[in-house]
Amino acid sequence: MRSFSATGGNPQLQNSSQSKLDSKQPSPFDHVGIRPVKRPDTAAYFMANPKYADLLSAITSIAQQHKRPEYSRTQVKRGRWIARKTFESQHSIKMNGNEYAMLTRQLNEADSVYIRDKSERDTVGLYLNQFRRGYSHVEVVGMDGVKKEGMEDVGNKKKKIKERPNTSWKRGMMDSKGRWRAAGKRKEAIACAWLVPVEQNADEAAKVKQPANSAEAVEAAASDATASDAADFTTMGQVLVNGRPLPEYFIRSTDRESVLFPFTVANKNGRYNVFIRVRGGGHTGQAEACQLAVARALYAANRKAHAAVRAAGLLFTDGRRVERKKTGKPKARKSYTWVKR
Amino acid sequence: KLRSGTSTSVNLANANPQYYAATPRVMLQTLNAETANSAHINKFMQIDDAFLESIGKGHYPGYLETDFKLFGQAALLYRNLTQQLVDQLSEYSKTAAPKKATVIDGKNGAGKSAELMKLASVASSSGHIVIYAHSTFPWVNSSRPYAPANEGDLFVQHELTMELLRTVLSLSKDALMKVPLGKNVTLGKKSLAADKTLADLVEFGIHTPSLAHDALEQLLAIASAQTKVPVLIALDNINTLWCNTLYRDQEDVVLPANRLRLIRAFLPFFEGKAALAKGWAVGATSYIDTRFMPKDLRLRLNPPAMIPITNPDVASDPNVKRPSTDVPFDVIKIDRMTATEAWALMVFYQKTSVISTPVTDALVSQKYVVADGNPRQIFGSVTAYF
Repeated sequence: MRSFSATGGNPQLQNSSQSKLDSKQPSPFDHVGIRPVKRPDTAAYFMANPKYADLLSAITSIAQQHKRPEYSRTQVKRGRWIARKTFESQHSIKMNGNEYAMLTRQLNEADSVYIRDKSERDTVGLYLNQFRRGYSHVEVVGMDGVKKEGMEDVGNKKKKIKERPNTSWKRGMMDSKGRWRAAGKRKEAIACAWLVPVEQNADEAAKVKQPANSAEAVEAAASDATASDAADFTTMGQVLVNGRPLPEYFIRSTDRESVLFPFTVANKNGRYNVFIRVRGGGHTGQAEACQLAVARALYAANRKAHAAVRAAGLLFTDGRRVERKKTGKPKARKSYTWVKR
Repeated sequence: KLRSGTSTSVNLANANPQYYAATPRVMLQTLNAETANSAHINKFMQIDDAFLESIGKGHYPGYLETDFKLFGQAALLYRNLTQQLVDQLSEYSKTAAPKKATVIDGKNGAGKSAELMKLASVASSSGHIVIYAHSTFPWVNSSRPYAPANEGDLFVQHELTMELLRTVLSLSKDALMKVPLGKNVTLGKKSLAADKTLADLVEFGIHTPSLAHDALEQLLAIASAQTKVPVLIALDNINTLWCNTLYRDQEDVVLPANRLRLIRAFLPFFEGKAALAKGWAVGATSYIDTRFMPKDLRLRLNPPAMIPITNPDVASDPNVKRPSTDVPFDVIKIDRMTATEAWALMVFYQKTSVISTPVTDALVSQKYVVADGNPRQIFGSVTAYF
């Protein structure tokens, strides 16, 4: 049976219904003998997802009540609000992707408004904090600033959300051993890459600069590339995938080029030793998962120098998946041969 | 089978000259005993024409035929490893020969056959007696005639032996003429006097195919015992010495390689049962045709990663067996090219119009990393269309 007290319910409605219930005025239905049914607190009671509807309306009302600055999409940071799954686990609100997008849009708007009244500002801030990502202490409160009924009374202690393992390395970060680490996915393949910069040998670089004899010096002068151009690199990085060299693991040259594309874009071929662990999927999926992992790790190593990686669109996960088979069809889109009779 | 881009690039050498530009010929120094020094490291050098004629034009080991056809000339990179091999050859020609033979091993396309070819070329020009076989696959792949020997359970290959003797004579005739037989050598019904030289012995074997095996065995016996002239035995595809051949005997049983008289003549040098008094026995493995790479030898040369046993109880347990890595020869592993070698390779490719783009740091490093420093992979990456 649905509860009357939905999260973020309208306090005005709550108060009015509560007052009605408490009053002992005679009802026109007393002589009929019909027991009246309590009116629900909110109109959302009759909707498919009342908790979500109440939450959305409460947050929308914050933005509508106060003047807000010009909304700019670039000012919004991604990953600001808790995930859709967290809404389900913490607040018992289920929603699909579109509903989540709409909610976060309203949350961003509500967060951007300026509220003059300090107490109201604190209340609204406290209310919005329970949906903000990264907050270790959460007090589930309603719009009226009162703690929600039915929640555990922890007294002076602040209720902590369940600590999740730190997965920020997946987007690219330096680990304790000084390696740049990141993960990538493509279809069913998952890859994890570690990057370590290669140290150049200054002595070998100096030797390469001098031509051997006069004949070679003439050749070197005539050619487009001279030995001095080779002085920039003397030690090349190696790429190992699941412990095997890159050409041994990926036999197709396109897959190898795909793995190394982030380095080519950033013009850093051979500057890093790369170790990749990949599993799942096929060879192309694994290659592109490795590409994403390498791109993320490379971008994390030096964002300014490797900005070309982001500009090339290598940091975005390709979300395409195998389309499901439909009933009445042999495959996702293919149809059976039409037979006239 | 060459990929489309590579095959097109290679075959353009025979294309219509009205439409296709000829491959530019790069002036290179010829590789010989004088030019084989550290000053030419990381530079391309041309193989001596006399050496190429001796082994027969077109009889190039491994994939080198494709390379030479594309370059328009027989040129190889003089690497750091080459200099080390040349230094070793020089040392063994002056001092006592090593007790064990040496085998050059590495991945496909690492440059094993090329190194052996360069070594044989340098040895030939420096006055060694060079017994060089650019490929031993024809010895075991049943492409050449064979016959049971008159005595014993061996099989003979007169044609192949005769060709080998012809190669030996053309490579090192002067060196052979310096070594007298030292004893009367009887081959069949003919006898060679003690004052005759090894050159006479080899010529006799060439002109008498039925006695070619005897001549080769006498040549090896005398050459390995003398210290006047250093000897170089260089066999490519050395793994064929221990493989199962494609020949069958009279009972239709597959012949192992050691039942071929030609192979049995060289086997003692690479199994540590015979040694040269002065000189060096070198071989190079090949993984091109895995039928002739015995599994046992492959495991010994490339053992799996083994964690050292620290538990004394486990270490002393006789039932615990680990793969054996013992081989009767010394192994030289060819690893990846260095960055400077890759640079020199790409510069040469640009000079010979194999690549048309200028050689830059980015290009070389990209090709190097994609190929993991393997020369064959770099060549394939450069010439392939996709």
